[in-house]
Amino acid sequence: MLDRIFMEILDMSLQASAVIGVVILARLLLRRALKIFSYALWSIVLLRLLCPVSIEAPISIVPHMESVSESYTLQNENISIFSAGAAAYQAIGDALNGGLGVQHIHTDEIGEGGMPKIVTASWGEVWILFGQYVWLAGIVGLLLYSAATYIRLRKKLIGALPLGENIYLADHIDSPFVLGICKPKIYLPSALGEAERGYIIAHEQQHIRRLDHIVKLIAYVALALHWFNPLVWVAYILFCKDMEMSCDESVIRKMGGHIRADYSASLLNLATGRRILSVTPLAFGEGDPKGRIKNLARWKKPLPWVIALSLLVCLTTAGCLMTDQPTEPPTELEMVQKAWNDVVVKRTVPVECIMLSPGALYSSWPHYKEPKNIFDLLDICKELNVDALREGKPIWEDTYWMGTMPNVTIMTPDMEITAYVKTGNVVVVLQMGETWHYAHCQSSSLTREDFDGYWYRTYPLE
Amino acid sequence: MIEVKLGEVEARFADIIWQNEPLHSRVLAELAEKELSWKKSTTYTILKRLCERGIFQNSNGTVTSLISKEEFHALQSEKFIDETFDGSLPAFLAAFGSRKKLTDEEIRELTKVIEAMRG
Repeated sequence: MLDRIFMEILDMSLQASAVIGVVILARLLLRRALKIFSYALWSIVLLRLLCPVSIEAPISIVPHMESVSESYTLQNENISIFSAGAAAYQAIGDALNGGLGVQHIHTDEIGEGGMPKIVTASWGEVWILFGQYVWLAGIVGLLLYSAATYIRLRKKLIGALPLGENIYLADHIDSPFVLGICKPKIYLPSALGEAERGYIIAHEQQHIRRLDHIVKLIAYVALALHWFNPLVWVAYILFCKDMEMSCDESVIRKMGGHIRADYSASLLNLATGRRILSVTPLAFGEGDPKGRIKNLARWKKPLPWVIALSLLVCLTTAGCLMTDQPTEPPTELEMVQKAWNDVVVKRTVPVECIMLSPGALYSSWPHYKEPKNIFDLLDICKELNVDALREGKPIWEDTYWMGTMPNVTIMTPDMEITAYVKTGNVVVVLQMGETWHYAHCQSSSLTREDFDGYWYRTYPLE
Repeated sequence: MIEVKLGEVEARFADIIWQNEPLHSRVLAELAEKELSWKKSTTYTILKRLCERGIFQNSNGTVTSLISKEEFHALQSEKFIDETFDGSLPAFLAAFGSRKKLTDEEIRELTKVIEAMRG
């Protein structure tokens, strides 16, 4: 379960990274425009970070990133965090020795002979397996830290003085802020002069009206989920800046351009605390009074055509980023390969039945155990040391052959996969719809991945 | 070391004590409720904090001051924002702005920008 969520997040993070890159570029384009447009673009990033579903459309500029979850084969295995850690440790050792080979991982299931079942995993899969726990630890750490700062803040707010409506005066805070989701309250530092309270209250009320206090919280959750992605941190910082600047602009628009000087002076006073040298650490994501004052200095009552142009840029970018590029329809061979992967390798497709060819071959063998899939069968056949297979002959013509060779057929609602085995060789025939494909490989070196790319169409003939 | 820096709200609460001392903590709570709309628990919490900072004392329910109001004002210079504020605001709160390390140069530059806006 955790691995599935983790891989979904990884996929989303990858796609969102491309989107963030484009938004950063678009922001540069919109540098001289009202900040509300930049702010709006971040909502798309937020959507991409939190919503795993997306629509495909040709206007998209988001490339289709290779999905991590498609190549992962361990989702049905029962692997503990300790096995995962051990495998990761091994993998590092291997890498240092120059190899990125396959790892063998102990699962929690007991296989034959009372020993734990062992599965093989590629190097990448090992890291996903172990990474999911690191990811979870990171989220928990971040959330605990936030909870701690929140509790500390609430303690400071005991004794706040209600000033009417939802505004409170508090000592020991150095920045005004909004607290609360359903009934948001505005807290002002008591050391702030009365004259400046007006602008600050207007700013905070605008935040509340725009539901910024909720959006920022959601953005923070997205940040926590994607904490491993540095681009998301960059996006969060820029998003906060745009949120503040667009809020400043709203207040100016409401109260008139003439208040800009006094408003900026409030901002500067707050930033300096009326002390020239202040060493309090910056509250994360806030601040940048320099940027905001300069932004207000540039502010002009926006002309209609400027607004229209900005809106156009904004909407176009939004449209391109909200959708994914349509994927090429898969080729026939890709479909066959995918079918093999889904049914036999990842075992994510429900199987209707498994048929085994009958024969004295099986029942007389003392170690016979009912094979559940092709690989179980191949293991048995290796043991039994059956005659060599003739190469190069189209399978379906040789009925004698098919009659005497041990085989297993796996049937799903859409296809039939049959494996024919003799020592040294394995042939697998996959029938899907109207076509038949086969693949051939040496059974001595057989692993699940051995059939990659070796499928040939055997019917209908080219 | 007596921590004599008081915020504005705390100062109002301290005033109540200075003007009415010695007084019983129950009476203090009632006055605080009238003046500051504080709950009883809030009054007791803040009183405890101020006692810990060595400004007041609460012996068996009677509240008295350890330093007088005049002494207190003598030690105070100008109004300021609490420098002992440790740590930052939670990152997920929407705020106005906050303390940032600005150099003198930057402050001068920004002051000029602001003055230009007045023109």
